[in-house]
Amino acid sequence: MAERPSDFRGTLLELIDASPEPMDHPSPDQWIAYQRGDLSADDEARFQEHLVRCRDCFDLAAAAADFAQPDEKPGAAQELETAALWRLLRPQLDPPPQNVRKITDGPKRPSRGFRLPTRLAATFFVALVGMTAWNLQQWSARKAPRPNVPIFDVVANQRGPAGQELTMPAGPQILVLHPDPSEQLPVYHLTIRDATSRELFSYKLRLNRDLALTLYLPAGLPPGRYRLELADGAGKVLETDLLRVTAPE
Amino acid sequence: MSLGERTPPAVDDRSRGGPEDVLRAVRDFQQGADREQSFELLFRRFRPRVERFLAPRVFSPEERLDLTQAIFLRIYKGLEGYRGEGSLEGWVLHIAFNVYRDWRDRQPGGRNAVPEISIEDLPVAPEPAPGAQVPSPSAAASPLDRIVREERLEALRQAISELAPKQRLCVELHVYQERTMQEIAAALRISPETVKAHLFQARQRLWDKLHTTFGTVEF
Ligand SMILES: [Zn+2]
Repeated sequence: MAERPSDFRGTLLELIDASPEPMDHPSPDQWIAYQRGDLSADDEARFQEHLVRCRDCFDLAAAAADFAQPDEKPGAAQELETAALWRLLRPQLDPPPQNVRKITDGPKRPSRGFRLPTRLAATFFVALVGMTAWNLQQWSARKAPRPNVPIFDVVANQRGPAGQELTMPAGPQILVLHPDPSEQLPVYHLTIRDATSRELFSYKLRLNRDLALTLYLPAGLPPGRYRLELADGAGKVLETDLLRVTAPE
Repeated sequence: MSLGERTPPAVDDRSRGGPEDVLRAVRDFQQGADREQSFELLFRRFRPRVERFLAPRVFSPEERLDLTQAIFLRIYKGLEGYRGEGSLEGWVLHIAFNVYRDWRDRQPGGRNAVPEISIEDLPVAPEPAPGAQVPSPSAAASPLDRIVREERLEALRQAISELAPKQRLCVELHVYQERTMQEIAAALRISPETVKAHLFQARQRLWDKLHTTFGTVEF
């Protein structure tokens, strides 16, 4: 028989495949204990054997290593990131049952934190959070420095005078829309159109506890001019606004 | 701040995150007592870990931001049902890992993920590593082939079993799981240099014992 080229690897794979299949997958708690060195030598050896055959557990064990490290005291930049992220997350949390509003209840003022100036009742605020701020410290520790962009808000113009635009830079964008609080609807439709009125995106949004609609655009809109259309559930347009996204400097 | 450590309030009370504070926050949350503030404490407590977990695995900041939100929203939704069977930390890890894994498995070619073999869900039947040439028994055409194959398997089994345990583990993880030295180091809780040394020594030993059988011993 002709000698085949080396198949050391293939034979090793076959050998390992023929070994007993791993059954008891350690729990996340057990992998954290493993990573902290809290297991007996026997258990540790058993867990390591398990890693050879179980890809999921290998990945979980690696994740546990990151979880098992002690947290360092957060620096100012990290606090800023956390605050920005919390701000982004909070409106997405379901309102607890006692805060569910009935449409028939009539207008309610925002109850916490944010007070809506009555003059701006029928306007949008577009709040932009420069999300580069949230990924400062740890990445710079990993030698991937990023510019320290602070969080900033842009308060939009009142809708009305034609041609007045909101301006925001390209990049990850958070839109916080405050529809007319006198008319709280169970659902809103936000459509983003380009300069030729072509529909680009359409979103179904619900009011959060601040009576705002929050939309996060991770990729952001590319530089250009846009029209935002907020409609009710039946598609009747309630608000429109113009938006200009500028190229990054 | 680590578990068991008393931490002074850094900014305000919500920045606390000692174990008692965390457990109280879970209890308060489940009882509906200012859920938002309770959840914020948990968010502040676990966000650094989630970040440490995602940072080396998800290169795009936007994707990382999405995943962080998805993880905490899932924690928020699931917290009602958390009954403390395991530690909260392990529970959060489980959620973070699942969210990340779902995302990773959706990536075409894992472009944004750490290069690694895509995996199916929990292994029911082990998949051979892509690209590996695993001789299947049915491919063995003749009885002679089968005998040669058996001999090779036996020679390898013997040689592998004579390696030091950590050397063997390094070889197996490197070949079978196609993991990098850094990944192996993290999984075995040793340094990458030690992994390198183990692989080097294992290669020499295996070569001594197997070069007549296999011709080359490469990994
Ligand atoms: Zn497993």
